[in-house]
Amino acid sequence: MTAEPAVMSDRPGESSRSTPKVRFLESDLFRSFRRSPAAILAFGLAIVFIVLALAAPYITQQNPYDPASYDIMVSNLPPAWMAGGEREFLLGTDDQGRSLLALILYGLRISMFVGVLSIALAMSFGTVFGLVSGFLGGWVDVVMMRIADIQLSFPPILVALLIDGIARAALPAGQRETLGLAVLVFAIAVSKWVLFARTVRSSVMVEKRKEYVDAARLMFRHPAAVMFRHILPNTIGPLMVLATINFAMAILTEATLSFLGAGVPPTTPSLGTLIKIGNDYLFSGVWWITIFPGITLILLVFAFNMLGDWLRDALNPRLQ
Amino acid sequence: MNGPTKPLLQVHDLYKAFPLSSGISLMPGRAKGPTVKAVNGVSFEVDRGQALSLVGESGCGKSTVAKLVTGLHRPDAGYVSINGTNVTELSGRRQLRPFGRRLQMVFQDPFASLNPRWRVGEIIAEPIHAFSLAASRADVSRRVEELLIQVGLSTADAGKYPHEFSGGQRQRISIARALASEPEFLVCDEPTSALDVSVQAQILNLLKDLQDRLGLGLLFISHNLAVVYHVSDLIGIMYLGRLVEFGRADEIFAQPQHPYTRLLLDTIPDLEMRGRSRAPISGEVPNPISPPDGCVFNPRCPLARDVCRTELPPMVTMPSGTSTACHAVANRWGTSEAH
Repeated sequence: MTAEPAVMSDRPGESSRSTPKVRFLESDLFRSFRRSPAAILAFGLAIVFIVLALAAPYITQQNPYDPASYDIMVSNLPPAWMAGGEREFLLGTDDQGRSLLALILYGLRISMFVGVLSIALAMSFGTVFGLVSGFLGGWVDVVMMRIADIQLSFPPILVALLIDGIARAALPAGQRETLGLAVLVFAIAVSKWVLFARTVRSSVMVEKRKEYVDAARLMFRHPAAVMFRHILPNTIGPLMVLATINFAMAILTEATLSFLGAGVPPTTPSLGTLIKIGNDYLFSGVWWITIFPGITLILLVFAFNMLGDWLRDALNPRLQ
Repeated sequence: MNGPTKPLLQVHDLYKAFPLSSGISLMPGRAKGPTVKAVNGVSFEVDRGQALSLVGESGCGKSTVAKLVTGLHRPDAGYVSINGTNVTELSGRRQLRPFGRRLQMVFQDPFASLNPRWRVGEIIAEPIHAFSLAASRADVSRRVEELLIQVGLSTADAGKYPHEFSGGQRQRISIARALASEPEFLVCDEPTSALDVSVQAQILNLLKDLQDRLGLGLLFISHNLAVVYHVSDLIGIMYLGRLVEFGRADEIFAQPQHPYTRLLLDTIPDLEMRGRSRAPISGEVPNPISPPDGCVFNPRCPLARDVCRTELPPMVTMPSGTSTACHAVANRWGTSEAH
């Protein structure tokens, strides 16, 4: 690996052409990353959470979805280092005897899954919406942006509660559990897409006046090609910032909705449902059911917020 | 007007005004608000292998003329014809595409005219793809390499991104892209104004060289008369949306007629210090929203008389072949030649 760049530069024709790896290592973004301890910490934390979520079945033997793997006789055990704690349950157990560590790991999975999916949905819809609105301009832009304004005037939680309520009323009882997650993802996406649409639109308004767009127009390229191949790649920077920060916000919204009982079904462990379950026991001295998922949530949101903050500064040419 | 051979580019009596309020009025048939008359009746012809430079201060409408010629703007009145075909009447990508291929543009800002996310090779290949000019991938890359060499870059540059190049090199990339569709006519909108003086000459020489070699027609937009002198066969001087003087470059430099042209020439630094008295232009370009009555140059003109403040001077062609729109000049010639 270390010899590779040297070999590349020895080739005559290839000498000035940089490989993708070298280009990344020499990029401003990577340099700014190396100089920022907060970014490295946040990135490390985010990686840890992603690995924990993906590797959950390999870290713990207990599966919270399988009632046979846990025992109600060991319910409400305190963490292992406290009197009465057992080594098998490092962070204690909940009211049904489920290992809190296993719950948190599987809860991370659900929370991050909802976060990724809802942001992906919000980003793709918002991006296309903003791209079309900003590119076409005129009346189309006015109408589309007023639609976005109306959407934005509803608080995200209210929108999510509304969609959840409608879904609950409309769906038969059996499907509620299975579609609960889909409804949650949809609800968060609906409350977030306007942010993406507005950001993309403002970038498009700037980009479309640049001369490279005129050059493409002089080649009589299809407007869709101008939009997606020329303009869209130049709006990616602010989009990535928005996606990172809103990923954290989406996880928070998921937790809020689950805490309010409108999100993930109570039988499914997510960080929100865990905090909710623990909340019922908080004043009886069983603090660990709420506190550990709470700390996890704080760290998770903190990591992605920091990452988004750093990305925003790093991609802002005025701060360089 | 309709001679046996049609001029490569003919611009006839172009008008273009921009509305001042960019907002959208709620009325469907919107009331005409105040407008900026950017181009006010501009006509000229350019033939194969000829280079015309349009010169004027900023805001005189020269860039708008470039955009009208290329079709980036549609004129309010008048037309542009290429090889005798009225392009302004055409609409739709299908009809316009064949003419787009023949007429390409080099832009002013080398930092905004190249998509920062595209490799140079992709940028130059885009017209080749857009106009379906190559049969295979190998043909495309061969053509791209050819173009890169033609503009003085190396074939290895195709794999780089625009930010790896200097302003002058970027302008070369821009020229390579413009040449990729084998155009007959090149519109250059201030291609050197964003460059260092030392690089300006290189780009100008490259353009002149390519024009000679490929027999291109050239429309060169500039605010600097000194810059265009070496490039142009014809020069048009624009002021406030109108052509005030038009003629052969050598004639205009030797015998500038219009007072504005003379003032512009006086602003060119003269290293030889020939001691010619200078009359720097005083005042500023009037507001194009409400241009002065009569001759638009009258508030700044040292020769302005009463007639200049009321009547718009017509273009008068002098024996030298230069046309000038100036009452004072017309009077001088009118006395010796019957009007």
